Amino acid sequence: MYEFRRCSVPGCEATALSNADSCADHHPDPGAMAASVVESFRDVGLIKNLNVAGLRFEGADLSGKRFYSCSFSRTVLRNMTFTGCTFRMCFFDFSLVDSCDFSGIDAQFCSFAGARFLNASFEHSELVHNNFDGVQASYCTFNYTNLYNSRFIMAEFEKTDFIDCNLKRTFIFPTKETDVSWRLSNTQEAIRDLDRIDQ
Amino acid sequence: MTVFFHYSVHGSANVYLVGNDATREALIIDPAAFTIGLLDFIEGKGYAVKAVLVTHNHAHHVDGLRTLLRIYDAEVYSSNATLGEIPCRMVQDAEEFTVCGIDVKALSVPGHSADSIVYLFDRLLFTGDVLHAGLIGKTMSQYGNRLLKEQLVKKILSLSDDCMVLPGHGPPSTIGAEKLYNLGWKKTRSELNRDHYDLFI
Repeated sequence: MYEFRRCSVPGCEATALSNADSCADHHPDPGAMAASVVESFRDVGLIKNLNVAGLRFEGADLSGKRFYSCSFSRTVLRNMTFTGCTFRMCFFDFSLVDSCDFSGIDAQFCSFAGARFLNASFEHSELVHNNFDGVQASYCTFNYTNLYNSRFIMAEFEKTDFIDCNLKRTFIFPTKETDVSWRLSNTQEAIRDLDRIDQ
Repeated sequence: MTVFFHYSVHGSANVYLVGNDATREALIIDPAAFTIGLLDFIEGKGYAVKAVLVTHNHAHHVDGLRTLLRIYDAEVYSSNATLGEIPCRMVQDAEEFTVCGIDVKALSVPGHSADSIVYLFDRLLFTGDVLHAGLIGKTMSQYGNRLLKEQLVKKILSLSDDCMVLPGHGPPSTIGAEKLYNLGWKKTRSELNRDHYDLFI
């Protein structure tokens, strides 16, 4: 894991960003920090133990990178390309994901809880054992994706498709579902009833 | 400190390996099963397992213990004096101790089982079965359910929102997300009825 150093600003309990003394809210130049983080990704394939929580990223192509134990919590991701990326134990909680391409990713044991997805693609991905609780997804596609053991508790879907997905052991308890297609997906193997939970 | 996650098909449980990168010592949390794959992984990383932390004595969390202890000379931490015939170093509520050079705080959260303990490593919380992503642990009675909720509110939801929740089953989460999106906080029909009746008392 990344170091859980506290932000250097007195009274702030947030975890400091990697390679910085403060959190994103108290960093003197978070824009420059985000740019330097993206630049540092240029020649490396494996990114481990990185905390960039709360930073804003826009327009970067990070396809094919492997992220292990990284925190993107509360980040703003706009027009980002993560095609074919691998994520293990990464956190995207409460992030805003706008027009990003996550197609063909392999994400396991990650949390996207409370994230807002707008016009994002997760097509042809392995999304096994991930937390999508409370996500608000609009104009998104999860088509042809393996969602084994992932959770969509109190999620909201609007014009979002789950065509031909593997939903075995997927917990689906949405609070809002508008214009959603589950065509060709094994919805009967999904867990949509609390009585079927055996833990 | 490095945390590795291993999905055990035995009970669909999560097994965690926490390694101290400086000493190459490691501890395992809830050995649901101890498989060749897990052994190869530990040996490949060059860790020596020195401790096992058990969240509660249910089969899906301890069944790998006997095999593990045949391979590694590890001390077992639990809220029980023994697990089967295996002696344990008993931990108590709010007890702080150091294992493999890593500071740990144990918090007792009964309800799912009487012996349920969660382990806090700075901002990593290993919750066993008391708290999962979007759900609280199953209980045997309404009393257990109320006890579990009380303990969770008192001891767990008071932690920092960015504290990571690493449960015994299912995907990870954070305290901030669990405060907002956990079905366990929703009132059951009997609780709603009780509120209703209270109006007439």
